[in-house]
Amino acid sequence: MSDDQSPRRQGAEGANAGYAALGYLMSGIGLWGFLGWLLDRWLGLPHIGLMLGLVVGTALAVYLIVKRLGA
Amino acid sequence: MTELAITGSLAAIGYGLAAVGPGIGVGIVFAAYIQASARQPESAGFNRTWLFMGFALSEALALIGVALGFVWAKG
Amino acid sequence: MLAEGKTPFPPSVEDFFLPGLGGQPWISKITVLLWIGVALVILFFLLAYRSPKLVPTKSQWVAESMYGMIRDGVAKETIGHEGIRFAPYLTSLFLFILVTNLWGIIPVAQISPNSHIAFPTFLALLSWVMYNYVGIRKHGFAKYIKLNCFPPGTPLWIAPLLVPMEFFSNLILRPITLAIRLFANMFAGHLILLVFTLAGFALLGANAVFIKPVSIVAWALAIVLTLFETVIAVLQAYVFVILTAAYLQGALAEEH
Repeated sequence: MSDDQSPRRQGAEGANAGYAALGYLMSGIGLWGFLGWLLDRWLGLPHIGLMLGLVVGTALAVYLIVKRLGA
Repeated sequence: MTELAITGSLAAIGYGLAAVGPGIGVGIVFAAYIQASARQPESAGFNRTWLFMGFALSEALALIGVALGFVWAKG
Repeated sequence: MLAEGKTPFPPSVEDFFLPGLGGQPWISKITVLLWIGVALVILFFLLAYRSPKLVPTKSQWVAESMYGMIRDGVAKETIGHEGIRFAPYLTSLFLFILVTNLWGIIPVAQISPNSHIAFPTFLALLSWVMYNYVGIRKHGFAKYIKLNCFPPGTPLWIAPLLVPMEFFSNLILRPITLAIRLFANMFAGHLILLVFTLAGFALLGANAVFIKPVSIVAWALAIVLTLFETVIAVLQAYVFVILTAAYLQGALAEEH
């Protein structure tokens, strides 16, 4: 990533990074939230696993995004 | 005077309300990043981490809203 | 269709499923538009390249500059030097999406085949198969999966939590978002134009006299939004191609 980037290249990179971040968030929240929800259905808990899954998924997604996309 | 009735999914309305905050938040995050890197272009790389962190944290609220909307769609 | 005062005002999803031409169920306007679009692209390039000259003619210049734009601006810029071999695919992808998107604007046609999810889905699947194939052929299956699913430099205890997320977002979610982005933009664009155009007729057919002139505002907005849709059509074609190129680059890269 040198300084002589054309605006188009920057734009493409920005779009890619933005959609990647969104994808990580969706997969993190969706995946772990769904697993938590399954846990709830299995054990008959009142949405505790779901909440835990959502929060953990969010945290993991944010960690992954900062790790991968934050330079 | 007829009775007003709303048909359809209340969860959709709830999600619409829940998406307002993250929408504004994401806008502010990117606006601040653009402003910061326009004033100090050399700080753009350093600020990128915080840009994505701020974006992810506020966007996460909207996505949690989607998930909860599906879970509580049936009331 | 819109001539009578009884307009079906709130447009719905059913408005996207056009009846077959002449009563048969197989060929509808969508199919015809698709064929015409493909034929236009093929014919244009055939004609432009029928007798290529060193000093290009006008149509040859247009064709060459379009190909050059994608080759230099997308393939080379995003993927790097080895991206040139993907330039033909990216160019035909871009032109196909562009032409089919622009059907949504052009009078008489005014619906984009891409507002049916089947077309974006197939395009996204094509790109998905392609970048996975290219990546697997370059790195081998195991290494490709590892590159895609194992974020470098994470502590070992947190990796099991991250690997499913990486797998899900890199290998499953990507084609889905690729397809849905194009589909949703075209679907919403057509729906918005329908809303404003039909609202004009609905306002014109209103009982109160002073509401009738408001239909002018609705039609004016429909025209403005049509111009806006033109921008969206070009932009979405470009974004689709850019993201395909970015995924190809990611599949070929040694480390993300």
